[in-house]
Formats: sequence, structure tokens, C-alpha cells
Amino acid sequence: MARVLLVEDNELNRDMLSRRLIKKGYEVEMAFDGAQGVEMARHNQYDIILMDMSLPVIDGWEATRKIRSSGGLERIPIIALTAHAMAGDREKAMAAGCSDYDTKPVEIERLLGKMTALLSGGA
Amino acid sequence: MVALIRQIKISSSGKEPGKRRRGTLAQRQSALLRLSAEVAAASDEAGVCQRVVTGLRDQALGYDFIGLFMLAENGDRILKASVGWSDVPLNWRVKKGDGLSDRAIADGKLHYTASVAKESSYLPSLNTGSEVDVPLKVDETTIGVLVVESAEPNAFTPADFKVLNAVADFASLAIGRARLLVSERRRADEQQALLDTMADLSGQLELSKLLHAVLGRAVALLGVTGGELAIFDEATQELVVVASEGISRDSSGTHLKLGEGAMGRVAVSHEPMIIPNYDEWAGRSTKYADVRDTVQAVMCAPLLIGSRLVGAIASTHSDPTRNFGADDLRLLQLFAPQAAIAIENARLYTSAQREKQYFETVVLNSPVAIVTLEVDGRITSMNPAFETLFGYSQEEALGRDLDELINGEQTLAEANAYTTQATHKAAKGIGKRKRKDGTLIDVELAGVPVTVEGQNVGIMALYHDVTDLLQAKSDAESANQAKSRFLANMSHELRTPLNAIIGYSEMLKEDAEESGNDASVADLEKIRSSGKHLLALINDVLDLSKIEAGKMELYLETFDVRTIIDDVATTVLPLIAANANTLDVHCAPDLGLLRADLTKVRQMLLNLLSNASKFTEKGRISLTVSREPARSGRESDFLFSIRDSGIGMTHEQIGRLFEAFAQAEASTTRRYGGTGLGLAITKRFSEMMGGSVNVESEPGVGSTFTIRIPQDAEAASRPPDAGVTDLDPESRGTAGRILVIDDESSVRTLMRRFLMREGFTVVEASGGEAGLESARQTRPDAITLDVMMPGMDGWAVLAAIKADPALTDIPVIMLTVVDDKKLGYSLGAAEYLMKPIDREHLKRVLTRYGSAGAFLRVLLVEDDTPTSELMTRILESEGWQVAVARNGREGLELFDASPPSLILLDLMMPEMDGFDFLEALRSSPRKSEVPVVIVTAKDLTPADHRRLNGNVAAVLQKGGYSRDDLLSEIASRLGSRFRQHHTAAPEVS
Repeated sequence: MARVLLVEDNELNRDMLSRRLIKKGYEVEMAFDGAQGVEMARHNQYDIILMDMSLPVIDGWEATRKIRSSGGLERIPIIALTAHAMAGDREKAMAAGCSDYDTKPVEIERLLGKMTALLSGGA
Repeated sequence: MVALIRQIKISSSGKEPGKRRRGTLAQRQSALLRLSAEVAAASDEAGVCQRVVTGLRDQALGYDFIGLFMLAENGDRILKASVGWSDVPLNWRVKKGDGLSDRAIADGKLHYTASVAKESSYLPSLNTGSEVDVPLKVDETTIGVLVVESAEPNAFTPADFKVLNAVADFASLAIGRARLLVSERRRADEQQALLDTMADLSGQLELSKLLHAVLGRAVALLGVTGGELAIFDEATQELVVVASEGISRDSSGTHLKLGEGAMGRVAVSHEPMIIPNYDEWAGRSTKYADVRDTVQAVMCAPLLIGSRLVGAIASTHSDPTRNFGADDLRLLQLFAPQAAIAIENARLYTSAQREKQYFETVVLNSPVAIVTLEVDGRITSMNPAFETLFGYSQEEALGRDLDELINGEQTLAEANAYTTQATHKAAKGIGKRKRKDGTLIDVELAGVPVTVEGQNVGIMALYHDVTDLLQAKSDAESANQAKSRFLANMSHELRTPLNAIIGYSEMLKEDAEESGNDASVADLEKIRSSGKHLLALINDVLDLSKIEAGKMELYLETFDVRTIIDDVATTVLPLIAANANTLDVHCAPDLGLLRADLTKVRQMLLNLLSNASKFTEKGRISLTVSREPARSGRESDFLFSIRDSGIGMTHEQIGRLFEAFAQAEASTTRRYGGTGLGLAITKRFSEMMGGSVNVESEPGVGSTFTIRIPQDAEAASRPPDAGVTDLDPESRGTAGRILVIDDESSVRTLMRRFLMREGFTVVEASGGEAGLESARQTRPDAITLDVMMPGMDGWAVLAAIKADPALTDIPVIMLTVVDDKKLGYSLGAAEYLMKPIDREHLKRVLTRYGSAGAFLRVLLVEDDTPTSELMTRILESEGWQVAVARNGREGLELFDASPPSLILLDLMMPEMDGFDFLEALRSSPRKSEVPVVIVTAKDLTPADHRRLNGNVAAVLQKGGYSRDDLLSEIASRLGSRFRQHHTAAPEVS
């Protein structure tokens, strides 16, 4: 099954989303801040990254740029998750290099749909 | 009728009747000669009369009773001299028609009455026997009569008649001469008095003093006892008495209507009048019923300048025996026009004085600094506020050049531009000015030309300190920003725990469903849906408060309406199905592109569709998209109609529909859910985009909501006078902002259409001043500027832009019929295009200057695919157009196909490397203008550096730069390129 890197600093969100993804059959690893997320993405093999945008150390946009500019990670699907349900955030996330975008609170079905699409090569 | 009876006692002295004792002929002739000499030597009329009677009494002539009467104007005789008439006084008056001597006056001939006692027409006086009456005539006009009497009848002979005729002749002559002399002298005296009066009056300009002086002079000049002066008030059409003298009471302040009383009459007739007996005069005003004691006769004249009435003057006699005559009238008529002019001058002077004083008081006390300048800008006067504001005293400032006095280097040119404009046209603005102590203040300024009879004589400049105002504004803005940040943070903080509540309840619900715990499923669903509702509320409240704070921003993009409709229909389908409704979508495939905020349009449609499905059960809901010509000359509007067959609304319910928290009834919320904010938000969103929302509804039948959005929401949502929406640089997407300054609205319209079609944001200004103002507010990426404009022309605007540090970097493209490229470039124009404009040319030029937009074409010369793909993504995400070449040769081909604004160049490449590419590029002057940024993994040797030196803008080491480094490098290269354009005339491709 697909390996997912979930970069999320909020414990509740992390716990909730990881449990639901695991329940759906994903293998989930977790990073607690942007820098850790970049580190893990560079050193491990993931099929998809779920990236919160408001993160400590370095934020999600910056983390995404760093991952994108690392060798071999130009094409890995990254879905931005943000509570800033504001217009403009989508463009901002896409500009940073994200493949897709979803707002929090997460609607699990919608998120799963986007993940499936990206993993099946729709990128 | 009582005849006058003279009581004359004539002494008989024992003489014989009919015989008079007299001297010899020689004695008589000698006496006559003496008499004539005496009379001729008399200096005045009274003297003549006296000498005539005295001379006739000479013993040689033998006349005992002699009287000399002169005629008054009314024909009465007045005794001027007599001998032997001891019982009558001088000036004794005999009425016309009475007495024997009247006959001589009536026919101008000598009359002899030999026996007075026989004359029935004459009541005989005592002791008069006979009488001779000789008329005195000047130029055939009788002026008096000489009466010689004797106590005896038949006392006179023809010889006497001869003597008396001769005496009467030369007496007449002497009197005529004396009278002429008197009248000449009187005229001379009057002229002198009049001259004195006028000299005196013309020196008096204070109106109230002048009015009293005029009246006083008139009274003195006319020798009367009193008078009144009134001036005419044109507003009320009344005469107002302003001065009075010598009448029972001070009549000042009396108002007389035209035609009322003596002054009212002359004011209407424009002719003077004399009223001999005022008390009996029928035209007397009731306001003058109590002046009998002081006013007997009145002479009155209008005060006229030409035919214009200024006032009226009256003179009065308190002596009942005195009346006004022709001389008085003549004098008054000489006096009146002079007085009228003196009064009018004083009035004008007083009102000018009053205005001047008013103006001076305003200037002196104004909190606004006011300064007047010569046409050349030197200070001629200033008010205290100017001293306070700028710290210069009168001595320090007068005669100095204002602009130099209160400007530093940065603002001098701008200030000069204002001053130059103010020599012929009002100029207004806001700017920074320097105080004496060197501190800068923010001022609102205005300059206006001062013209006298069409001639520019100077400038008046006003400065209003707005430092505090701007500070308060900026404080308010930062407070508002703090509020916005708070709202954004709060929404984040609220949503994070909500996220957990919704998520966990959803998870638990799924678990409960799997384990068949139905009771828990229902409760968990309540938690979940309450959480969802709370979230919706938070989102809506946040939206609404942002709108109210003016912080809701539009993120405009151009999109195909069809795609958004499909997306919305899919999203809303579960809601539609929940109430067993069906959804029909009518949307033609070729509706065209809409430029609007996609997210907000989507939110509006979802709001209305979810409302429709909420209030409809087992019904039909339709969504129809169509286009309709716009109401105001814009392209055409998009109409989104959402129709339902639901419960509908009454007229009253519709009235409050779009207010926040106002659902049709409070109970609706409980029954149908929702926040009650959706429609309010929908309405505000549509208004932000220059559109509207309308509703038609019928209870029980259904409702139709229609959203109207202009084809270009951006152009429509920016009213000309409102502040420009500040767009996030990232959200500006592909558009550069162009300010079009042209006084011709047709040119602006053409430019707007053309530029908008090319994806630019267009800001318009119809004149030089407005253009400068707009440039300061909107900071456009480029400006197109006409030259021939009324008021501040294109050259002045260009100079002001280039003199303003904040604006100087904005490239200015002249679009004009004036062929003076040299002047344009020397003033700092970036490009100079002649009208009529070649659109393709203009597009190329603007694309070069259009800042961080898609119009900036970047040529990326890079052989490594992953690197070029990464850089392409970064650049495209920032809105640039990217052309990728795999080596130098391809790079040159692409350059020729479409010249880029910037080149990103790798050095190590197959076929033609970066160095060769650069050399080829530099061989063409035009191509060498384009900045080149080297992006390389090569460690550059000193030799490499020499080869690149001067030919590239920057060198970035691969792996050693971040995305931001790359972007900021590009931005700074383009910025410096703009500056190059200001110093050198660019080549126009």
C-alpha cells in the first residue's frame, strides 16, 4: 500500500488523520515541523506527502520548495492542507510547488479522492 | 381786500397851492448833474436808491416827498428808499394792483395825477395833493417805480416830468448795473463755495462722516435753516434718511417709499421741487407731521448719477417769510450731482474697505498658511500661520523664492511644477515640505493664479498641515490591519479545535456504524453536524467582517464559466438530492470567459443553490447562465439565475432578505438551518465585483435569484473616485498595471479595451493633475502619457514624475501627435510613440515594461531537463512566460522569434555554450540590451569572469541559490533595466 508522509504540527489533527488513513490501508509516517518534513522526504521513499502550511521551524510553503528542489523529488505528489480557507492560498500553495490543495477541517472522502487521483498518475 | 393806507403827514409849511419853490435853471441842471454823478458812483442797488431820493430832495429841484419802490418777484412793490415819508419803514410792501403807482408799473409809462383826491380807484391818503409815478425799466422790463408827491394838487409841470424821466432812466441804468454786479459776484462766490465744498467732500471717504458733511455744506451754501439727506437702498427700493439738521427732531433712520413725501417725489420724477408752504402741502408724508415749527418752505432735489438714483436732499426754511427762488434752485442743482458722486465714491470705498478688512481678517486668523507670490515665485506677503507652519519670519521670507525656501532637493522639482501650473491654473496636491529647522511636514497645498483685468499679477499659495491627519490615517490603517490579523488568527485558532471535534466525531461515528451501535451513531452525527454548522458560521462571520472592514480582497482570474458551473453542480448534488429535488443546468458551451474572483463566484452560487434546495422539497431547481448587454457601456454581463419551486417569500420577507442574520423568520433557522449570512455575503461579493443580486418570489410558487456580474469584474469594481483595491502582488497574477493619461475619453476607451484584452489592468486619468495623483496612489507598472492636454500638459507631468523619487522608476511611454522625441527623452520618457498608435508596437513596448507579469518573457537557455523544468515551474508560478532553449543556438533562434525581457543562461552546454551565445548576443546592439543572468554549476575561473565581465547582470551558482534568490535577482535586474532607460534613449524596435 502507498506510503504517506504527513507533515502536521497539531497533535490532534495528526492523530486523527493518521488513524483514518491507516484505517483506509495507508502506511503513514509523520513529521512534526517543516524542517523535519524536508529531512524525512529527502531520506525516505514516500508515494505522497500531505503538508500542513502553518508549521514551525520552516512553514509548509518553504518546506515544499525545498523538497521540490531536492534531487529526485520534483514529481512527488504534495497535497497542501491549510486552515486558511482563503482565496489566494490555493494559488500560493500551487506556486510553492504543491500538486493539489485541500482545506481543513479535512473532509476525508474528498481528501482520499485527491490522493487516489494523484497516486494513480494523474499528476 | 383792504387797500393800503399810507399815513403820510405832509407839512403845508404855508406854501401856495400849484406852485413849488425851486431854484434857477442853472441850479437845477447843476443839481441833476450832481445827482447823476452820485448815482453812478453808488456801489450797489441800495446805494443807488438812496442817492436817487436824496438827490431829488435838492432845494434846486424842490421835490419834498419821494419814494422809490422795487418790484418783488411776485409783482409786489417794496420800498427801498424814501424822503419825507417819515411814517413808513424801509421794505414796506405794497401788493400788486394797489395804489396809484401800480399804473406806471402796468404800462411802463409816466403817470401824473394832478388831483389825487379825485381818483376813485385810489383811497386818498391824507394830505396828498398831486403825484407823479415814473417806472424804472431795464431792457424794457419794469423793475420798479419812482413816486414823487406834493401836498398841493396840480403841483407838477411837464418840466418836472422831463426831469423825473431822466432821473428814472439813469437810476434804472445804475440799478441794472448794480444788479448785474451782484449776480456776477454771487455766482463767483457760489462757485468758490461749491469748489470748497467739493474739495472738502472728496477728501472724506468714510461714508457716515461724509453724509453729515454733505448736508452741513448744503445748509451753509444755500443759507437755509435745516435739511435732510437720504440715500436710496436698491434692495428695498426705499429712501433712508441718513442725516438731518435743523428740524424739530433727528429724522435719521426714517424710511420713505418711492413717491412718499417731498424726497420720495423727487426720487421718482428725477426733478427738483420747491414747496413754499410745507404745512399746507398735500403731499406731505405723515412721518413729517410734527415739524411745523422748523419747516416752513422746502426745496428738494434728487441725487442722481446719470439717471441712476443715489438719494435725495432737502433744504428747509424755518422763517415763514422766506421762500426759495430760482437762484436757490440753481445752486442746489449745481450741488446735487457733486454730492451724489461724493456719496457714491464713499459707498464704493466703504464697501471695498469692508471687503478688504474682511479678507485681511480671514487671512490673518486663518489656520491655513497663506502666501502671495510674484509671477516669478518670489514671496510678496504671508500670514502668521505661514510663519508658524514653516518657522520663517516676514523679514526672512519676503522677496525669497517660495519653492526654494520650503523644499529640499527631493521635492523642489515637484513644487516647481505646481508653481508653474499655478501661474495660469489652480493646482492642488499633497506633498512634503521643509520647515526652517529642516524637519519635513506633510501638507495639503493649493496654488491659484491671481488675475487683475485678465492679467496674471501673481500667485496665491495655501498650505494646510496634514501631518497629524496622515499620521491619524496611518494609525487607523494599522489598527485596521491589526484587527484583520486578529480576525485571521482567530479564525485559525477556532478552526483548529473544531477540526478535531468534527474529525473525531466522524471517526467515532464510522466506528459505531461498523459495530452496529445505532444509538451512538445518531448522537455522534449531532455532534458532527453541530461542529459543521459552527464552522460555517465562523467562516461566514469572518467573511462578513472582512467585507465590512474593507479587507475582503478580490483575486481576479479569467476563467471559463462552463467549468465552474459543472464543479458547482457536482458539489451541490448531495444537497439537492437530500430534499428529493432535481437540478437542471442550462449553460451554453460558448458563453466566453469571465474575469472575476472564481472562489467567490463559486461560493455565491453554492449559497444560492443550497438555499434553493433547503426551501424546496420534491421540486425543481434550475441554474441558468446567460449573457446580457451591460447597463453601463461595459462589454456585457454574465447572469446566473437560480430558480426553485419552493416555499417562496412575501414582499415583506424579501425586504429584509439581504440583511445579515435576517432569515425570513426566526423559526426558519431552526427548521432549515444555515447561518443566515449567506445572502448578505452573496450580495456584498457581487457588489465588490461591480454586479448585483436580485430576487423575484411568490409565496408557495418559488423564488428566482439572479446574480449579475460584469464580464470584467475588475474594471467594473473600481469606481473612478474610489481608492484602488490593493491587490496582493501574488494575486495580481498575470496582469501589469498601466496608467493611461489622456484628456480624450475616446482615446482612453480604445486604450482600455485594447490593453484589457491583452490582460493588463488599466487605470485611467483624464488630465495631468489627476494622472499624477493616480500614479501616486496606484503605482502603475508603466504610464502612457499624452502631451497636448489642457491644464498641466504632458511635459509637466513627465517632469513631475521624474522629479518624484517614489515615481521616477515608473517607465513613461509618450503617446502623442507632438513630434519632439528629443524633448521627451531628455525629460526622461522611456519610449516615444507617435499617434496614431501602432497597437502591436505598443503591446511590445508595454510587454517590456509591464513589470512582473506574463508579459515578461524569460528565455531560459539550459540543457539539463530537470533543472529547466524546475526553473520553468518557479517562473511560471510567478506569472512569467518561459521559453526554453537546450543550447545557445536554439537560444538565438528563440530570441529572434520573440525577444525576451530577460535571459537565464547556463554556461556549460553542448553545440553552442553560454560564452559563445553571449558573444553572439552582444554583437547586436539591440540584443545586448536584454539583461542576462548566468545560472551555472561551473566554478568560474578568473578568465571566465573576464569573458563575462560587463556582459552579464549577475551570476548565480546552481544549488547555491533559493527560489527566492532567483526571483529577487530577476526583479532587481528588471528594475535596474528600467533605470537605464531613463538615461538613454532606447531603441524602438
